[in-house]
Amino acid sequence: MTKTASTRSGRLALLGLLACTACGTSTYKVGIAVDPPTASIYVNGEKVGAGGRSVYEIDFGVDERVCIQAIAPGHEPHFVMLSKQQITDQINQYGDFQWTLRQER
Amino acid sequence: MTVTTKPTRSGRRSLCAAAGLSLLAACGSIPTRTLEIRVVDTNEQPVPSLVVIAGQDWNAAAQNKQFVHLNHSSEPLRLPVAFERPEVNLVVAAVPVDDAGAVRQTPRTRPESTELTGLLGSDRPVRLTDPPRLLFVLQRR
Repeated sequence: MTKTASTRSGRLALLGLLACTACGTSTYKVGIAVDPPTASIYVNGEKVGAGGRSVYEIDFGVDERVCIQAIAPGHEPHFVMLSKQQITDQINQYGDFQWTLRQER
Repeated sequence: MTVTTKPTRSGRRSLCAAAGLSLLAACGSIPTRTLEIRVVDTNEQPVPSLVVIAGQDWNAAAQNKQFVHLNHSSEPLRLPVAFERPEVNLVVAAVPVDDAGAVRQTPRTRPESTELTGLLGSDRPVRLTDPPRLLFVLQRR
């Protein structure tokens, strides 16, 4: 009886995972760490937080890429356009995005 | 009460022609997307700027009022952009303004904009499938 119940819950979990994969999720949890920690982080032109290290939920919606920017006074701004594949590769190979903004000359 | 009128033969012909034209336009039209553009400096303060689509004449951009953050506004510029190619390059250049925030002089090139404002211009290739909200950050020279 217990074995049947655990098998059933296992199957349900597997089904849930498969459903997520089938839907082709467009939201990713991405760790971003920026030096200086006072830098502002923008995703698709909207301010989402400050430097240091934070995890952001990045939703692609219907778009194929997202734009991530880091801005700090007296520093050169950082700008990247990332596809879902690039974010997946980064998470799998290196983990967080880590950027150090260069001081303006 | 509903009144229905039967179209005449010539009316029907016009309707058919209009429908055909609409279909033709829909099939061969260039995709257009309205982009929301904001421009700030590294202190995150809005910068009055001119937005120029690659290949567009700077005078034409000015005449088309492709300015953002004039008159101390923080509202974005809503600019319809025709994607004749997969990527369209947008150029943003700061413009000098008076105390009221009106344009004093419209630059015709990026170096001229830098000369007038002390801020470097910025450009970015944008795809039709990219997010429509764009933030440009201009640096000091």
